[in-house]
Amino acid sequence: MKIIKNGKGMLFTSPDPDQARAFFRDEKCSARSMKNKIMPLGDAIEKYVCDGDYLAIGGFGSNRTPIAACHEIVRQKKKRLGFLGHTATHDMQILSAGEVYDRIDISYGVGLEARGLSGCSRAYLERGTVAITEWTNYALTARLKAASMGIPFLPARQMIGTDTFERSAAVQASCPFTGKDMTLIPALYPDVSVIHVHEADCYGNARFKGIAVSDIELTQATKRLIITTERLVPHSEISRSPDQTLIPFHLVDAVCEVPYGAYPGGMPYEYFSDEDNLASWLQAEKDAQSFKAFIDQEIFGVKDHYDYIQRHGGIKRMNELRNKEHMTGMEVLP
Amino acid sequence: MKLYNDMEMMIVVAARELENGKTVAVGTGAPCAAAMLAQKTHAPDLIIFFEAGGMSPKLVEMPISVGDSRTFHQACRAGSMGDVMDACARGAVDYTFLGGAQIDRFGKPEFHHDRNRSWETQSPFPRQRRSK
Repeated sequence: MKIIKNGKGMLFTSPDPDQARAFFRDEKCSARSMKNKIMPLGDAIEKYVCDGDYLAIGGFGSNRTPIAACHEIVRQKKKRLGFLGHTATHDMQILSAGEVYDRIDISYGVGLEARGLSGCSRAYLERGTVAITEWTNYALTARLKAASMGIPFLPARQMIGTDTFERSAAVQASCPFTGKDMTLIPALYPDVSVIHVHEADCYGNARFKGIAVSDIELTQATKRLIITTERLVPHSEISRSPDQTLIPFHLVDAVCEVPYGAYPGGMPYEYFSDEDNLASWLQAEKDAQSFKAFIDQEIFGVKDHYDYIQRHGGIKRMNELRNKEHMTGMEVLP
Repeated sequence: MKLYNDMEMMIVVAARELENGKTVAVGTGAPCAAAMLAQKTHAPDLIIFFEAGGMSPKLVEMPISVGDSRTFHQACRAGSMGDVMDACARGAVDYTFLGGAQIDRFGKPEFHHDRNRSWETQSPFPRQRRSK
């Protein structure tokens, strides 16, 4: 295969499938057993997210994203993490506030979509202490897909002719079959990932509703996987309709029951995002001093996610967001 | 006094480009607004794909995120990023439609940096977007 050019970005993780295979074979044995994996979220983060690890967060920024886990990672003051800034928004905002990562593969992360730009994520990256390699969202999905297939790279038509390619760690080569230019996208095996779902049993068999984003690829690529779930369900419920299982137990290391675990982000068919809460972040970010007090109040001064929900309006507020999600009272006739 | 701002003008002009019955993969912000405007006016059968996996929703209100639940409201499928992006890669959509921080005369969008000063975006977006 003829190499045309190399992106100049740094590759933070090894794409070697045999290194990953050795991990899956030798160190992932306990996940492969049907054992009870339920534990408190704090314990799961303490056990499986280690300083220096490469971390990925599931969902889509503020949608079905394990926000409670992001809070916990900051609360436990994790350090020197690598971070997959893939379809990231509020999750990255939280992790930037905690300054928990020092290297990032980024496609979309500083922006908050229609909400604006995160001042804190932007300032953290502009400071120059974080190593940055750039990609597109699809390129990062392809990196996870390659890892999930146990291969070192995938060829794709991605980033060709862009500055993003120059800042990526991809390689451009000509296809041996057609002679066409392709981008070779290296596999990414995160050390640990967290995904939020609607339902899981104690073994980690999990299912979610709504869009999958890149979570299926992520669950298969990651070395360790923590599931946070709105509800625990009995195993009989899972085995009654195994076609609904999107994440099978053998990929999962820990199961944490965290109701409203995506709040203040949204959870499809459960609750819509809390725009007032998310706007308060944008407001607080404008001033570094007040932002510090804000983080103390919103994360460090909070015991756990139950406490957090309580401080943000409790059941009453969650019910309002449930009505908003279902557009109750705002039905539009065709 | 102008009754609209530049952003609103862009959205209206962009919406007119989208023909009824065509398939368009849209990004966050203005493209999404343009697709919704088209669907609510001259292109009720516009097929809208979102990168996060929403396929062919009826947009009743503006999604805040291209992954929020409005992006697969009354949709044909709540799929994945792979579903949508793979379709784009193999030529199975009519249009893809993205916003950028700035755009050059060749139509190349700039998303988040200029050539010399990475991460110090020169674009005023979004701070001045409603200022006119």
